[in-house]
Amino acid sequence: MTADTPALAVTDLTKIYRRSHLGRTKTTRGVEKINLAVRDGEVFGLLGLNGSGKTTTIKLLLGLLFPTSGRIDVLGAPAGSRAAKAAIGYLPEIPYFYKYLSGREVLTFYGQLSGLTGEALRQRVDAALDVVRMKDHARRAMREYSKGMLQRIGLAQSFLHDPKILIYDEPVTGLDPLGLREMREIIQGLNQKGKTIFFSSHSISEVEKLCHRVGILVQGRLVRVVEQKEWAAEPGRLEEVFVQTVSPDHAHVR
Amino acid sequence: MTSIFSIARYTLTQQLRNRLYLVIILFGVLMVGASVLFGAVAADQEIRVILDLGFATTEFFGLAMALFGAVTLVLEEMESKTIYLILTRPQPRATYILGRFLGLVLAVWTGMALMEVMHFALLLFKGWKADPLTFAALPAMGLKVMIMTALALLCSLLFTSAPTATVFSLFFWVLGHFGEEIRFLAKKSGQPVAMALVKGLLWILPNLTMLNLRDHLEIPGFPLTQILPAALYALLYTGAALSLSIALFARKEF
Amino acid sequence: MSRFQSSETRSSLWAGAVAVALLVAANGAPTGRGGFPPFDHPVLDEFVLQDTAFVLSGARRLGADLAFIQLLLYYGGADLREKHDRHAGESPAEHAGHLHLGREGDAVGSTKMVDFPDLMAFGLRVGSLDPYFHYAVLFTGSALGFNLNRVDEAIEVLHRASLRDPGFPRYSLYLGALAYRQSDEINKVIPWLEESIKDPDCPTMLKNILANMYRKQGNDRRAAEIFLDILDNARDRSYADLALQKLQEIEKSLKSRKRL
Repeated sequence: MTADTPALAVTDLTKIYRRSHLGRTKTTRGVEKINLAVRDGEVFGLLGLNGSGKTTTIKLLLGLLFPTSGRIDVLGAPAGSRAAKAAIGYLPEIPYFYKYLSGREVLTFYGQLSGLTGEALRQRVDAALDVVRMKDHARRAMREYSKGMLQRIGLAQSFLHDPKILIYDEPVTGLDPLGLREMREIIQGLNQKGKTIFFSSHSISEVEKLCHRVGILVQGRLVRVVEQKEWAAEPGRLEEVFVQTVSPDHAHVR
Repeated sequence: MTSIFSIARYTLTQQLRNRLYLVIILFGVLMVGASVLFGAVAADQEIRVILDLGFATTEFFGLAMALFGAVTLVLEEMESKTIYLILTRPQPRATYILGRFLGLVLAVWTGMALMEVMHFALLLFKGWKADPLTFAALPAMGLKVMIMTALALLCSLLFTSAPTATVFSLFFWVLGHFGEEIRFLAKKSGQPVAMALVKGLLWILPNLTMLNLRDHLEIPGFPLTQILPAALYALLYTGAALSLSIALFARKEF
Repeated sequence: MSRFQSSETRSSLWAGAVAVALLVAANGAPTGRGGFPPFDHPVLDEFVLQDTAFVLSGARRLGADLAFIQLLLYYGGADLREKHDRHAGESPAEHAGHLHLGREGDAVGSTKMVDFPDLMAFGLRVGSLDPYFHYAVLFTGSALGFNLNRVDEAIEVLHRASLRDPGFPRYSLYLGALAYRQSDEINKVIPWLEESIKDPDCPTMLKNILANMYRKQGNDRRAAEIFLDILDNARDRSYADLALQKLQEIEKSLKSRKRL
């Protein structure tokens, strides 16, 4: 890995879902021929309508799905490999946790799985709970947490092991305005510490505020990548670009 | 290795805090207690009936805990996506299977141990002269349930539906006890095809009769000579089932 | 295929190969001596499902226990036997609150009726489930041979059991006693039974039978010793109550002899 190595390098990535039923095979295109390089230290947003392939892309980056063709490198290591996973922190769209464990126990558990032990683990858990403001509730069982509290624990487990890259799937969905602001501040804080952040979202306003670049997915294809300078000068410009891109009349293959 | 133990520990904690799991244990304990009612009808053989019914109850409820745990744990986790946060950690996928299995087995053995404490207390109260040979039945029962835990885990990965996985696990349980009878019937038929098919089937099915030491207590000298071969068989068969689970899980997409 | 995907495929193939190797090893491992012989002989049609269920769930011994309980319920307790013996001259169909369990299809009151015609089958059934349930075999053999005077059936039960478990010494002891019973040489039966009741697992019924034999011979002292043993140790309350009754009879008899 050199200084020029992108944090995430996606080359000709295609995922076709095949489902067999009673002898018939049905194929669905998840994503097709995606080419993308996310720079080190960048905040990259992935926009798209429902079913456009955002979650598929994220799962491919994480090794939860296997590509049909193409490749993905995470800081030079193949996606899904141990080195790649060690470099990534992930927050799913709706984080589910073990309802019988407490917040602290859950973080300790994930920290252990990330290779943390002993005093270092304990300190990291404390620090993460501080950042997400959950220290006072850490000993309660997860089943007693509100949605916002669950989201905060989800966030905490994503950066607990100090990964270089954070991949978040719709991190702002369902948050109230205060929650949105807190999430934004945390993400910005993490980026300021040098972390690369890749996230998918429906919320154009949040993407505008956070991202250096935005990719737009339409029916599994990455049709456009928009730089911050293209929307920064004009409020509402990103939304315009997005609507134009996803509209059936204007959608085009890159 | 640490990660396997981490997952095992949290699996054990999860199970022991699960209300339904505790209900199964409580019910098992009550059933062991109820065995005294059946014993009363058996006159001179009261002790024997309490002994047998208690062992059978413990084993049956151990099986119930194993099936419930293996099927719900894995399938629920896959459906609720809790599994994503483990699979995106820098651990081989095998760690998850082995950790879950170990935790489940420990949880089941804990429940069985509680039932057996009650069982032996009842026997001693009824005037049973403790025979050390009787205790040989306990590890065999534990090993039998261990095999079933591994098979239930395998079935939950194969079938992705809780009822189907449960039914197939029970299928293994039943046929695992019927091996000698199937072999006898095939021999009686004299058909080479039938005999070959049965031979193949018996290779795949677990030989649970070998671990039925609780039934073989009266056979002079039997349990002691049988423990080691039975334990070896149980470990090898369990290893085979787990390896197959790992093979399936390695290629599973989420 | 990505490099990662191919490595996962390789892991999968390796794990699969290990699974096959372990399965081969498991099936090739020494299994030691077998346990029960195959359950190939359901004895009583009405219990086929029940017996098969216990076999399939790996609980043959428990199945044998339940089969034995069903045998006890069929045969009845000690007081029932004694009540029957006392009014043998009455109508054979129904008296003193119990029925003679004749075969289905036999006319009620028929003199052809046999007491407990399926007792042997009940006993064989227990043995087919658990060949090592010695007590049940001895109980059935004792009931058939000494109570119901069906020595052939008793010998059949014990003989089949001894074929399954030739190492159990008490079967030959009982067979010896039954041989003398068959030729009505009660004096020669008694030593065999004395030997049998030394075993702590001996059926209480057999002790009761021996004590009754002593009473018939006029040896009340030995009979009383055995009844006392039953009173102190029997788990079956019906036998304990009967023993107490018998001891009271012996006491009465001794007192009346003293007066004379």
